Amino acid sequence: MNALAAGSQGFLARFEGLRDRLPGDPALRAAAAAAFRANGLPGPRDEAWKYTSLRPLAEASFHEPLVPLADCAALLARLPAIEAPRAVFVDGRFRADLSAAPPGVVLDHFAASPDFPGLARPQRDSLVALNTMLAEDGAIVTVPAGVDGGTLMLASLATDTPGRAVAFHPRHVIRLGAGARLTLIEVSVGEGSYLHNPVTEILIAEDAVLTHVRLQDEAARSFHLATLYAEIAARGTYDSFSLTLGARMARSEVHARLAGPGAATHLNAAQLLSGVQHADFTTVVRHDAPGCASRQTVKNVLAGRSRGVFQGRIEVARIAQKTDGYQMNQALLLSPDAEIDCKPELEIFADDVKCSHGATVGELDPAQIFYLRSRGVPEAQARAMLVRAFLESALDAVSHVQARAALDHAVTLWWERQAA
Amino acid sequence: MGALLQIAGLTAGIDGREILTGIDLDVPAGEVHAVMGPNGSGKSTLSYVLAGREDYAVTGGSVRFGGADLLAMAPEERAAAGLFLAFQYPVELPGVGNANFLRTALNAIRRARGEPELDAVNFLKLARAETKRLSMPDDMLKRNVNVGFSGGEKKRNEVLQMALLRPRLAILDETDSGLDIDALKIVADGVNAQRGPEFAALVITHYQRLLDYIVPDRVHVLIGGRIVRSGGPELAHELEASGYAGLAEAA
Amino acid sequence: MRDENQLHAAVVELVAMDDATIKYSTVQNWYPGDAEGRGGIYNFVTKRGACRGARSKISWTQVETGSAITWKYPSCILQGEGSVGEFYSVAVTTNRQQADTGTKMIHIGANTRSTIVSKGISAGRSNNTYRGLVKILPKAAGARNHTQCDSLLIGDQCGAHTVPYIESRNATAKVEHEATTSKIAEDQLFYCRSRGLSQEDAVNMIVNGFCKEVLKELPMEFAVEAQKLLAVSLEGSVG
Repeated sequence: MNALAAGSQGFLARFEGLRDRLPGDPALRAAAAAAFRANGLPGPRDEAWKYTSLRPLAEASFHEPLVPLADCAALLARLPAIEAPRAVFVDGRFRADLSAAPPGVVLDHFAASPDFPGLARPQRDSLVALNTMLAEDGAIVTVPAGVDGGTLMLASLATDTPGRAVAFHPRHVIRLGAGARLTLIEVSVGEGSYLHNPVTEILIAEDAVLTHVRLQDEAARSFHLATLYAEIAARGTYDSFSLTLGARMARSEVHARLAGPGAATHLNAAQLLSGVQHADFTTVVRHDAPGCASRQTVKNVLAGRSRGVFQGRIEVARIAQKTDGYQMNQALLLSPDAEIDCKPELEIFADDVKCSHGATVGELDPAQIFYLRSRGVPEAQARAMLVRAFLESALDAVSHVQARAALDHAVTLWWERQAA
Repeated sequence: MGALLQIAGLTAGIDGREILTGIDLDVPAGEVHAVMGPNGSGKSTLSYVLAGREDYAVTGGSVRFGGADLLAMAPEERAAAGLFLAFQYPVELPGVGNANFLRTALNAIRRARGEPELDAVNFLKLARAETKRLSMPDDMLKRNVNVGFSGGEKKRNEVLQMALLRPRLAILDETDSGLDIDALKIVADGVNAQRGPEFAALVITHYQRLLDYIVPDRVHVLIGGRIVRSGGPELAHELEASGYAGLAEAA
Repeated sequence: MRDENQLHAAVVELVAMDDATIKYSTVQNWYPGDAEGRGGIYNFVTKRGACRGARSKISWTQVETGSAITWKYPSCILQGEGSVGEFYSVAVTTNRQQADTGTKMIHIGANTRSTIVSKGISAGRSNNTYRGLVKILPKAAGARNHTQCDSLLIGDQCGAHTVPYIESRNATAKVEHEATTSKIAEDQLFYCRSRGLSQEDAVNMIVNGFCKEVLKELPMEFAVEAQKLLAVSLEGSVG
């Protein structure tokens, strides 16, 4: 048995022990378990996992989280100062005592009201099968039609129990009714060694707008493997930005389907890595209706021996005429030992489309550094300015003022850690 | 104390090729000197070596600036000491706002000189006054550094930086190239406004045209990597009439 | 009944030593099968090049208009210091044709450079794919790559796909990739036609313009042939 297959066994055993107590449709759980048993963890022969090996995950072993009302004051203090109600999850479990909903927004949780909207594809995506098999809790957020739900922070805190790495597989569902609006700020922080494997399903009805800002600042020894599905109806918008800073191994996979005419999505991201970190941002945007627009700006800043991966596919169905698809991905290598792998793909079946992608890989421009230095800016500060400038075109897409400030602050802290 | 800038026996090159073959040149405080020469004579090399570009290697000689060893200083230390190079081809800095850039540079230099830093409000007041004096639109401060600037705007932006950073020695590297006559006058006015006992300039140019507007105290002719002749402002006119050919033979 | 397809499976290997230059040009127009995709050649070709010597250069130019199915990825292994790899490609598919072509540029030596220009034109019910790899290994300091991949779709029953892989393990290397997909703009067609060109001539002119960067790499007599071939291949695909 190879390492990946062996790594699957622990999760399957956990399912057998837990299956009678899991909320929701048992048939769905059993089907997901069958898919996970058949496919196992994805390996190097899976094209979608060409650049990200799950061997380190397979070689680790995970326990179920303990359920105490752990004291997480230190972790709560690490959440960005954004004035908004929070839905707080500790080791994957909903903490009603720490949570509240914005006015007009219905906040429920998966353990109490299990919900499988059917966007996720456990048959195709193994980590989603793993999640579907083992999910115990998650946020179920509903913004009724016409309601502006303001801002909600979705916080995932992982506590440290030394010697006992835990795995949790939250299942989140975000639903916006017709014309509804919400800004969702998702923050993941933690301590110690753990696996955070969330699946998020997002349904955006006609004319609704979801702004989704994600800040992944997990513990240095953790695994963060997130899969997100969004379906956007006519004239709806899914506008997202993901900042990846943490975890020894991270993958953020996004499947956005533009299902109705005039729908739009922005999948912007930045990954700032150092040490031996590995982070993978993988997206599939499916244009399934005419007149839709997708925009992506993805930046990687790689220090130390880190490795950044970007895979982005734009699919345009035959019906999706007048598609406007744009994707830009840029990587900055700050160290001789860093590595970047990108695969920006276009798959187009309609003729009246405007699709483009661009990719650049390089280091900081010595002429720019010299120019700044010749104006009196010390070299370290010049480099910091240029890295910040490099990130600007991605960060600029974040219009929520407090979220933008929180991201800027996180970038500054990251840079200070590198300089130290 | 001697001249503000003292260059003695300077030899330098790039990629193993010697371009400056022995420069001797003094620029006292309060004076404007012009360095003229044909293409390939080493004019830009001289300006880059003085500003400290690392791909140029100094192979011999010395440069003293305000009494200190200029060649031992990092580019930012040279800037803090009061040396300013107006680039022939200013680089673009996408994502870096011009105002932020100028304030960062100004405060870095003020810090190095032990002066208090300027806050955003006072900085903007100062910057707006200077942009106005240089007939630059206000939005030039909001745009990214040199990105999408026309050739003339880039040069004016260099002069704006010079006005704000108040150097003791400004080196203008072919600042006249690509400028129409109106832009040329604005740039010249910007330089002339700085003139005084505490300001010196080294105006590097191929043509005499710029020197009609920035009248130099001394003119030096650079050919084959060294100064072959020096004289008063009339030398520029002489070159305009007879070209560099005769001097090249003399060299 | 018998099988109407034929297989063409060639292997071409190029080796360039110090200061050597190899320019390899292909115009491929095998039988593509009929309008319904019956018959035609399966053109599965292995082409690779090794730039072993310092400053050596291998330049692949190809115009692919024929064959039912083409799979072809001429590569350059850029080992010699300062060696250069180029790939210029035009692939036209109509009816039921499939072309899946591209290149691999493996940068091993310092200061190696590569240029990729790929122009794909799909019409009818065909599928046209660019698939390529640019790989920068740790010792390839100062390596440069520029890739331009453009796809043109004619009609709404065809497909155009771009699958580039970019892998860099050297900070001083610079890789740039651009890809666009578009159709012939109505205003371009209108402009040509208002100057008296027929619809078909206008399309030919625009397609030739679209491919110009590649066609100019061909030897003169080849280029003339290739231009005519593009026109013949696209005959009748514009309604």
